[in-house]
Amino acid sequence: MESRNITSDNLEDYEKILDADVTENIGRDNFRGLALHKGKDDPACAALIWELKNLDEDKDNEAELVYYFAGDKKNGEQLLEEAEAEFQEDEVKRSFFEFPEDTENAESIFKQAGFHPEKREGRDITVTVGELAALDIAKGNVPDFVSPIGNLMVRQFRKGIANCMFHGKKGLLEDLASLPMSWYDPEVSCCVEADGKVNGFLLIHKMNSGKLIVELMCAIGPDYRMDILHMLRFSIKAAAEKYPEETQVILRRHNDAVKNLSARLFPGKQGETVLAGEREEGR
Amino acid sequence: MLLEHPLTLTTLILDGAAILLMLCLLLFSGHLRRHKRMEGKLFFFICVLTILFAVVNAGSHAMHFRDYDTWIVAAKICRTLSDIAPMLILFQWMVFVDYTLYKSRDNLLRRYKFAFVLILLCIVMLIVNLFTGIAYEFDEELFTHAHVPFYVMLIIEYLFLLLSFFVIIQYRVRNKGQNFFMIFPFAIPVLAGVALNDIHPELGTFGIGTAVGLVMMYIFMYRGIALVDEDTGFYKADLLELLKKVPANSEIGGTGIVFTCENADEKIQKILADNKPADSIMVQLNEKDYLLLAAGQRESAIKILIECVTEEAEEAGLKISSRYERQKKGESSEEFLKKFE
Repeated sequence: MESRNITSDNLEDYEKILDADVTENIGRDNFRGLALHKGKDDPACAALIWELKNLDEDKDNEAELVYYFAGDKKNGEQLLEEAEAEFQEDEVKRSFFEFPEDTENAESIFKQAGFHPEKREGRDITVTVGELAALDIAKGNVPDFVSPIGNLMVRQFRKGIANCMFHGKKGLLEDLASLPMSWYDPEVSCCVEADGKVNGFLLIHKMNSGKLIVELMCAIGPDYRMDILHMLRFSIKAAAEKYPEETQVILRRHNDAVKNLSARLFPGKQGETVLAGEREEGR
Repeated sequence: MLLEHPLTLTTLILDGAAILLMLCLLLFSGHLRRHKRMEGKLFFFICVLTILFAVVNAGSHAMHFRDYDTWIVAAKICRTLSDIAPMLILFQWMVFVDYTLYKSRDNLLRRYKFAFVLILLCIVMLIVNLFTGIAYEFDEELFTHAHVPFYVMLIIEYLFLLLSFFVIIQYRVRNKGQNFFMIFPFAIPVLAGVALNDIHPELGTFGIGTAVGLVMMYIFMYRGIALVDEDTGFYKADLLELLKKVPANSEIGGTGIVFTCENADEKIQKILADNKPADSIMVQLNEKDYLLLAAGQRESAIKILIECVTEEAEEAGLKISSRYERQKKGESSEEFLKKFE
């Protein structure tokens, strides 16, 4: 068995086995990919993609496994062994995952690898643009200090990003500093400005599959809560104008603020059941 | 005649004292006289309003016991002006507190639009009162007797004072209890003046209460004012000596970035001011070195900031270099700041 790193240079060799929404992340600074091949000229029989976290912070490095595919148990076991070696190189102290419930062979393989997998409610909730547009929050005026990021110069955008990052905001994005403005939907993503500076963003990325995902929602001004509500209203209205009603929008409840907001906007809405687990590295 | 009415005489003396206090403050404080920074302008304006209030209030009280027919017009005008002034003073105070903490003009306009409407309505009511007596009426001795609309206006004034407390509490909660600003040197004398006024309406103590509050506030803030360069708004290097005394187990900031510009002038100061993250501190160490102290420690954020400053400086024809240090866990403020000397 031969293992190869999946990079932007060889990505086209793996597009058939990788999820469309995962492939666009290959090439980003903190994403890694590993594939197993039976022989040199054989196609990949197993693949794992993970995202390194906290590289830029004074915390232990972590790895979130974002995609897993293995034709059989043996391939899966070997894949995880190879990945463990890479985790050690990157000084990862903890790895974790959240996969669809029906991921083939995953439960037994990850259990054997020491992950303690369990089925639980996933952190993502998926709503449609139509559902968002029907919310009360979507009604009303948007103040003129909220504008689409497409109206910003690149330097203004970067200064705004630095401003937010200095206040500890990064959303879902470990590589927030390196992602270009073009990564985000320019009409639906928006920002708040005060005194000529950007001090809040609602950044939405359109994935290959056509789903939208909210990747950063923050404001650092004195009235940051109101600013976030204004930005939400702006983005919902913009999304309703630009996309069909049935377009899916993913809200990842990665911290308490987003959990509380989604509970308020969509009370009772639950995430799908997923297979989740974690493991301490460097055992 | 006034000697026969000790409370009115006392009011005149107190208003005179208020005027004197404010004039002394303005004369002795070059910083206030020049008021180059926005905070200075706001504070200066409050002082001027206090003087104007004391003048018209004294005038209004001086007319008590005079001939009703001859003095009623002057009494009404003085009284109207002396009712508008406290509202403007307390509103201005609220704006001053907000700006001092958040340094955002846009925030003021967004937050306090409602206040402009309230003030306008109150002024209209007071002007209408001149002709209708809707807020208060004058008796034979030119004392006033208030009606409900007048008390509504008083509530609005107290609301401004109350809101200034909330702004400070909000700031302290967001900035994890930093003991930055104490409203009490101002609020206690003002509230005392207001309370005395309510107990004895013939005794006008709002002016002297406000004047004492402003002087106490200025004395309290003086050390901070002296540390700020009036022209740039940046802190002077002396601030570092103060920051070194911050207790060893608390961290004053996450990152310090020194920008060195050989031919430093207003251009680099504007570039640095434009790029400075919110809630960070810019200190001018010497003629060519500027130190930015900010809470965040993410290296990628630091690099974006340095890139943006460098690009803009180079576009302006300036030569700039930079270096940065991040405060280590457990490192004292003194050890951290010594790296920038």
